[in-house]
Amino acid sequence: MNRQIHSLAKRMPNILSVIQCGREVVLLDELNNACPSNRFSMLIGDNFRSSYHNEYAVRAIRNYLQPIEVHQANINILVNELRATEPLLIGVHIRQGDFRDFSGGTFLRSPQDFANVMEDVIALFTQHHVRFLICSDESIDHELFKQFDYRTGTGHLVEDLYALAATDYLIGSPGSTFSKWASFYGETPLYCVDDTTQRPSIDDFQTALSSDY
Amino acid sequence: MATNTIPSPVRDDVLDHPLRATTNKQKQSPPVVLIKHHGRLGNQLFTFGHLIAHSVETETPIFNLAFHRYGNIFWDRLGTLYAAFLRGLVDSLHLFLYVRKFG
Repeated sequence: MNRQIHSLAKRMPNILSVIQCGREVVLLDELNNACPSNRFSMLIGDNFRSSYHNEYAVRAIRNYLQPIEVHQANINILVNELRATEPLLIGVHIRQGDFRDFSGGTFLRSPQDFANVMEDVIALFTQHHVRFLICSDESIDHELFKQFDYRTGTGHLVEDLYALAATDYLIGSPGSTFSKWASFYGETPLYCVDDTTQRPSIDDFQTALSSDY
Repeated sequence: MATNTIPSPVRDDVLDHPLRATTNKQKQSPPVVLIKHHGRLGNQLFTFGHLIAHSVETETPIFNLAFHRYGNIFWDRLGTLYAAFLRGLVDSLHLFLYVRKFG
């Protein structure tokens, strides 16, 4: 595909410009300066950024990137059931799968690490009944979490993501943009289980921004 | 304590967003097309967010063909087909030029 696009751009130099990025960040704001104004800019890569994350842009992002109604309905059903008794609802995103190999397993945290943080979080909110919504890309060891009031997500990628966004607080996997997006989208304070020896405080829960990637 | 709820599915902002209706705003910049992205859903959403932020500010039309893998989760069938169509168009155009030169 890359070769095709480059080939196309060569054949139609007055129409197409190809901008490819690797690990380095390319600012979209500079595209207008870098490319002649009459060309399509064809982008290839993961690191294109904009610095225009104002309030209106953030609202547009949230509005545009909503799941379709069938998924939204399933999310509503799940969240309404979880909130039926008005508990403090805390989402837990346990990412395993690809994190075992990614970057030498740096970001991998065991389910036991998450269970420990969940105990710490209950201690933070002693005046509330805390209920957890646990979502993971692997099956959950129910024996490990049996002392908690919890429920698992539907298992659908986007339903899990947006159900997590609808919780009151989030416990997420470090380095996971899935956790961060849930935090950004729902404006939900997020605590990433980065240091497993640290006990979280309420101040450690921070809402992610759309520019955090 | 603030309680989060799922926002309304009404997409009022999107109705006059350049992504959805290219004719209602004067085009000031050439279109930007994201062809390829290697990330999974979270990374793709953040990149798409950057594209949308750029589009909203500069009124640049954007097309995110790299998002077609998740398109059916976020848009109706027509939107997904549209992304697939554009992607196919690029391939077809390349094939057409190739055939014209070597065919």
